[in-house]
Amino acid sequence: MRTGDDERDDGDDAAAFDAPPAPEQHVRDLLRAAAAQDTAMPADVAARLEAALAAARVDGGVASLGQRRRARRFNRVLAAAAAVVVLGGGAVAAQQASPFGAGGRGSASSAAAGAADEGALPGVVERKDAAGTGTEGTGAEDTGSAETAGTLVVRSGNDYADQASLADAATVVLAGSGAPLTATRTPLSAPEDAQAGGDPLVAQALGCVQVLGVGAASVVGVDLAQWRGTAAAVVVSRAGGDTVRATVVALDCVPGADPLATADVPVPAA
Amino acid sequence: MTPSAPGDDGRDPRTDAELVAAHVAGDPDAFGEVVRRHRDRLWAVALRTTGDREEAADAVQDALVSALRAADRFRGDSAVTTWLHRIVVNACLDRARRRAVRPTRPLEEEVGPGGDDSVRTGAALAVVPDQTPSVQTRLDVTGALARLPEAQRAALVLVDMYDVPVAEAAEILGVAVGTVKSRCSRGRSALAEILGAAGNR
Repeated sequence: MRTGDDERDDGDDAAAFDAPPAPEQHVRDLLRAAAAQDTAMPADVAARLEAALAAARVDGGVASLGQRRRARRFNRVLAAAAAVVVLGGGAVAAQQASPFGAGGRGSASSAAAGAADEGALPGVVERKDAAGTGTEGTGAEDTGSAETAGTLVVRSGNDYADQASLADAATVVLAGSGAPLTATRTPLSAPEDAQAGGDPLVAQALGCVQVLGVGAASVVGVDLAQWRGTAAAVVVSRAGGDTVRATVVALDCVPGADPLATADVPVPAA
Repeated sequence: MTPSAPGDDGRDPRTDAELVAAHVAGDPDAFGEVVRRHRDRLWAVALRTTGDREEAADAVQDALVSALRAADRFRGDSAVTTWLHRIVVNACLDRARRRAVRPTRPLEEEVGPGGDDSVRTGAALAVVPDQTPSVQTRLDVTGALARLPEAQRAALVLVDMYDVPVAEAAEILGVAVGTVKSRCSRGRSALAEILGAAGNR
């Protein structure tokens, strides 16, 4: 029985396709007979499907060009808002550092301020744990220990236009990871978990990581960004040695989707 | 597979391509009509390709939600049905690959009394040639189908079960026509061997 590598275009097999021997013709007849017995999609499956499609329509439906333009504007607003949060956080941090400031552990905003002070890239870093609950903070403060690390999701909102610019994505994610490449990381959170956590964008990004087939153990993190104006996820993964690979995939990826771009980026010296 | 299925019995008369265009333009009902036209065939293909009811349901759902969202990227180079089948089959194969990493029991199987799991409902039952295929034989062949590599299975499901033209199957699977023929030929040969061995047992 030859069930192994069937990628080759074997001339003999192709010839046998057109004139199959009797046993194989019989198999064909059996397959056809089996197909003839097919029934319609069961009512419960059809109902689930209808509900999912209705939810997808409410969730935004088709990403028309107009909507994508609106999404782009929204992302710009989001980036501006993130910058405001960083600056506002800086003020809070400054207040905390003063003799009159509140003590104790800082909020997410104050953590962002810390990152701003340390020259970290703007943006919100979100780490999804196995339960899909995110924690916000900065890459500089969030050291990504094995106890808390899930899939690192960074929302830079950057619009990457070419392969060279993907080095920036790698930098954003590596800065967010705050951990050496050799650090132990937990497996990818499931998209369903992220969805349950209430963030469909993160769920989509995690789904796209799975679509790309990038090994969970090699993923350093994901940057929610844009590729030439289209919402995209940049998956940063270890590529061996001192190199990481940045793989861009459309955020509305479909199963079997090809990457939009890929670039191997040397890890910047610490 | 026909590129469109406008109905003359009160159904929406628009072609599939017109419905997809209407969906992209904002018609809230258009995509649902496309789905209603083709969901039974998509379901059947998914069920045969995955060999598992829940996997098939999830694959069809994921695929059609993706298609709904990405409809603006459908350029009309192929028929809408070909496009939908491609997305569904890819979703099935994607799930099969993931399942291969995290194996689960793909079919409702019955393990033999001695723990011999080759004695499965379906694949291990006899084929009776020279007769009209009985219900039992049909169960046999679909059970045996589930034992093939997914690429061969997908090719056989499309071409031999559902009469999808080879060129269209090649487009759906994203491979050359010769590769589809090769996969079908090898798949048939493997099935004949599985079923023959079971019949001789």
